[in-house]
Amino acid sequence: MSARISKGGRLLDPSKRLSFSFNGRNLFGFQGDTLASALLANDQVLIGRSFKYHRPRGIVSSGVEEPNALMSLGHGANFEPNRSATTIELLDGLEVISQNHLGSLEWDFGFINNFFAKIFPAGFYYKTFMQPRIAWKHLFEPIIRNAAGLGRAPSLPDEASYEHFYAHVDVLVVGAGLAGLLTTYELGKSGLNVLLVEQKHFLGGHALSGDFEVNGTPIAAWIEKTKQELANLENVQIKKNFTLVGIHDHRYLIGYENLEVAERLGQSAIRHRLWRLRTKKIVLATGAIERPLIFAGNDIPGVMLSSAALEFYKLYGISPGDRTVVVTNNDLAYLAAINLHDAGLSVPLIIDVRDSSNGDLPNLSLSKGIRIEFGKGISSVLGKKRVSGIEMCSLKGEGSVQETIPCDSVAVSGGWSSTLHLWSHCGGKLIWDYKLNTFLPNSSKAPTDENGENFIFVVGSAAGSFCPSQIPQNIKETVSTLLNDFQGVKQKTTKILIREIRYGDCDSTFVTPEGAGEKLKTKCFIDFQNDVKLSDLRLATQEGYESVEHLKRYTTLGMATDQGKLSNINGLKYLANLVGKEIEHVGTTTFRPPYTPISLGSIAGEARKGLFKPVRKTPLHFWHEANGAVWEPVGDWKRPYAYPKSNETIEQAVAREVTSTRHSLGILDASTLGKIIVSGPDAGDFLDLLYTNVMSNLKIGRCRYGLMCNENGFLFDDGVVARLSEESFLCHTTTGGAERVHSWMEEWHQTEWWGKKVFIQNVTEQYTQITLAGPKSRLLLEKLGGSNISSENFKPLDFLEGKLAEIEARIFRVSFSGELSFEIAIPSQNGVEFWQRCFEVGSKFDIIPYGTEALHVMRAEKGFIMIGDETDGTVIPQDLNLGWAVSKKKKDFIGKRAQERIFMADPCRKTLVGLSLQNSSDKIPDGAAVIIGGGGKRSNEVIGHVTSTYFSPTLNKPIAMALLKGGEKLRGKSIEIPMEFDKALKATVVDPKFYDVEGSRQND
Amino acid sequence: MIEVRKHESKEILIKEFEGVGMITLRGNFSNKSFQKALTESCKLGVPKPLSIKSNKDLSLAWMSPDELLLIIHTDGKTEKIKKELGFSLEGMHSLVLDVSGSRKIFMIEGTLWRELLAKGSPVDLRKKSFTKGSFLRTRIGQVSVAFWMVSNNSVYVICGRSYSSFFYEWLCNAAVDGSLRKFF
Amino acid sequence: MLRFICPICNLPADETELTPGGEAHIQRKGPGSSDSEFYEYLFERKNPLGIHFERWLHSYGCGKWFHAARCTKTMEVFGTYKAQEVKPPRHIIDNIKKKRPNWKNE
Repeated sequence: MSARISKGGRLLDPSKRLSFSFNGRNLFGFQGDTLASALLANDQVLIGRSFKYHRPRGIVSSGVEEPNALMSLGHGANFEPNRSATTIELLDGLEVISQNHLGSLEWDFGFINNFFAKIFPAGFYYKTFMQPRIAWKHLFEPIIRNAAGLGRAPSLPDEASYEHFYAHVDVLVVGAGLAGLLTTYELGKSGLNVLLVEQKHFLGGHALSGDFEVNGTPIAAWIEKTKQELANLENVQIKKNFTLVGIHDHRYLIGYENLEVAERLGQSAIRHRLWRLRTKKIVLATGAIERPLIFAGNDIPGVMLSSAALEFYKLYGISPGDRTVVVTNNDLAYLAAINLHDAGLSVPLIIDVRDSSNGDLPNLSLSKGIRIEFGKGISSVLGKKRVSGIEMCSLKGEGSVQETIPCDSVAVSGGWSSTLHLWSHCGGKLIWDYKLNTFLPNSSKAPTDENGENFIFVVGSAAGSFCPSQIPQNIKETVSTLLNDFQGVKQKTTKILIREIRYGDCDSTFVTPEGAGEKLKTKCFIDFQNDVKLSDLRLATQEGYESVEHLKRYTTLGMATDQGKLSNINGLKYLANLVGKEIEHVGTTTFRPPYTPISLGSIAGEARKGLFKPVRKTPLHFWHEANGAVWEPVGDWKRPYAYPKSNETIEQAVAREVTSTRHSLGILDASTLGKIIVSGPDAGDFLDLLYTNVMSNLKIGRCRYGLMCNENGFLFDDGVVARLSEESFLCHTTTGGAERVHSWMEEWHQTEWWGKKVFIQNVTEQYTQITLAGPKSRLLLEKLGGSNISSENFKPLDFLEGKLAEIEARIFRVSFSGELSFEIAIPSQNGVEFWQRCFEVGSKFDIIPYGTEALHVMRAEKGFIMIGDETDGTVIPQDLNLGWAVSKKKKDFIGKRAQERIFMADPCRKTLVGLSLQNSSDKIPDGAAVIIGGGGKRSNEVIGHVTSTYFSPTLNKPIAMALLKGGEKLRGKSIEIPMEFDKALKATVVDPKFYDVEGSRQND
Repeated sequence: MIEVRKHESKEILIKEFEGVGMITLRGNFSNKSFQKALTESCKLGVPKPLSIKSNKDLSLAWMSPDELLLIIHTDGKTEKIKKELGFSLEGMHSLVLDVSGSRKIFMIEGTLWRELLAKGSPVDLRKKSFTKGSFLRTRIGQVSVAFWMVSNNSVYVICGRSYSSFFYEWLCNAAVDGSLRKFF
Repeated sequence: MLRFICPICNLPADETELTPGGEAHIQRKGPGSSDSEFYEYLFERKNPLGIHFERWLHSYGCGKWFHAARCTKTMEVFGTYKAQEVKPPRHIIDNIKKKRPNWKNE
């Protein structure tokens, strides 16, 4: 059984007992435990089920490479699935549930035994669910969907807080093992600004489980001492629980800081923080990950990596079992055997697949009386939900059993893979090292930064320095190269001495026995989470999936949540064997960020709920809010759509607002309209190039409606331009167009016509703009007093700068409603005061506020176009009967050349018409297709579409505008708008000006 | 300068102001007459790119190679300065606009103001990079801003008026107790 | 995530502070141009795997457009320069040739 013993446990604080629950059972651990070590301390060897076959699974590793120990944590809004137990720091009160089983963890009805597993080989889904097609939707898909995914999705919104943090540092050191600490120490002494990040909750990495000395100080004490010394350096920062998950172009890095423990202890308001870093250089001290050996039954709970057995013992005081058999192809695994033996546990046997090893560790094991069998392998592991023994065989051969050894734990080592995912994110290539049996960074194909220079340096076991004694020299040299890029920074090397340990050569064997037959291979697991076996890889290559990228997708090898951290290299080695190539020619799959899974919350950061997207508010926003406005989002703005009274529907409110404005007086907050000053001696010429019509001959004090097209000739914005002075124009744009038009003008000025002497300034926010519309609008302005706006003195399209109610104002006589109308611009600060004055004075004129919908209804009644309704990026002014606003005289303007193309003059272009419905209770849907009507068999040819559709309270009937092929020529003709269930609405093509065609009201 | 509202957390004090006089000034900085006009009306020379110059009454910030922002710290002087500038720049290709209503100004006080801004802005906020006299236009979260130091423990941030209530919420959220850890 | 030094204000600007503007040095064709010239101006764009000249706008900063010479394969930047340069300036070309001796400016 696995249990807590009194030895080991360097990270534990035995005085702090923590309770947690696993599948409802109350268990105990200690401060310093991970969830994995705490489960093992409670003899919880079976911790989950595999994805495909629901096979029993145990903890294999002690780190981020763990494929099996996925757990669901918490409940309600704090529920989180698919968390790896080996990376969770134990916390008092933690609730844990195991995953991927139907029924209980012990008795899973989803379990597929070895017999049935044969009918679920690689590519099973691709082959099986092809025919009949109908079965996909009703049978296969629901079953597969039900089986898909691991943990349950949370059912409540996450209530935790997340955030981003941007930081710039000189050097980032990734990994605080021996190599990372030494590098940081050396760089820190040189005075550079260094950030050291460590994914685990402790510093020291694998070194903390070691027994060597640094400069005569035992490693654990040395780590503690170094931590203190680094803490005293102001230029160095250390972050634990911080994983560098991605390295991107131009030295942009993504880090993931896990603050869950601090959060639950009330020390942090943030759960996860996403770091967005820019550095000059990066040092990867990311260590290495041990690989398993592959043999039949290697997935049975109780089989774990030798490094995990060692670490669980050394750091958490865990015995992985009472009797542990060690099986290895290298010397390092002997550390587990020696330590467990010294702890008083039984290590009946070390199986070493090599012929011999003369390393210090095997010799030490022998001297301690541990039995070693060289040249042997495991034929099968015995047991179902837990290891009960192993069958030893000769490595060469097919696996005939030579001896059965009872044990309850197997520590396995198939060599070490340097952790180089981050090296590869930005294009770094790898090279296979035959001696060390691992990929190493290919320094001649290193990732490069924006200057084309190498910016990533690799040290320690990530660079192949697996023996601690090699590391100080390795770091001294690396730091010296790195500092070449920091002018004036001097290296300050501290002498570090670590006693050398002699290692025997490791071996490339990864499957035992070498001649394993099909019967054994179907029990030989490579990818534990996705149940990929040797037999699946063989089948895939047989079927032609020989490229590593194809093999991965066909078998799902390495596609689980651990992303193949344990399985990839073994898979590649086996593929290389199968296709008769060397592993370096097989290549690797592409490593992509993130290195480890990160929470979606951290990606969203603070941008949730009210902070999801900026909301722009006009100075009058609070008034609208207090007066019951319902809102319409326009760009980032919120504009009042209508102001329904308590007894009104929104439709009724709109109708009332329209009617009241047409009869007496309406007031609109038009502050969102874009306002751009174009000023300078060449302002007129410049605007002539930007607008389709002529602006340079506009008289001071006058306004003109203008259109803007892009170089394709398509209309994209419109608005009224006023000439403020000889050199200065004020250009109004649509609400959504302010920023676009401003940058459009800037772009043309900066990149094409920079010789024109103009300054362009966006003053949209400087003014509160208010529209007063309706027959009584002039009466109100007269009452407010201060400016002469009489009909003789102030004609349509006039504008003046003066005062109204003692407030400085610009008054424009423009109308978008068809009524007598004035637009008034007040400095933003005075907006509220002016708006309130209008209501005080206007009450006798029955003033009412109206919203954007009433505005739209009124403009549609008048046949005025709206950018975004009547235009869709393919419409030219001529299509909208606005040819009068396109100059024929001007030599050039943006869009002119495009409008000369033949298809722009095609008589078949769709042009704007009005639609009058024959049945006034019908409603035309927006955007509906229009076809030629006419009894009998309907023609299905679509001749256009509806661009705007409203109920007109003024005319008491529905009205619409449409872009139709033939346009004007269809006037008086009947068309149809097909609806659901073979129905159609009938309408007549009419003039789009529905109301006051002569314009007598607005010109009053 | 009117304080609109404020928010206080353990580490940070956020104050929002309006009515701060601001003038946008466009022109050719290398023109001697422009420089002279500026020195005469503001007693400040053209600031270098990415920087701000200040005296008791005024601050002059570099916005772009042909745009300056004049911030008037003393109430009620904006109109006068605008007139003076307009007068001394007469006949020169230039533009002087009162934009006092276009922006709001926030003062963020507390030793961790750098950490607060770093939650939303991609610029280098290290003490050696962003110093007294630096003036940066960038974004914080999704809002376009500019900021400069008032003292070692405080910073001014300006943003567009219409974004100010969103930005205020953003700042308050970023200042939540227990979310700021010393980094810079 | 790219970062360019804005040649106008000298700030290393994060990609999120910039707006891309596509290929640089395209000459405008207005009235009087032939259909094929105009078609080319509107629609024909290079899309090289390698060295490319691009337009960028420092939209969250000084508000000015600039040009950048960049390798689309390695993301290496050979320099940024003013938007008013109608072709890549000498020092940019020299820098590219120094680092990519086989490159031809087409």
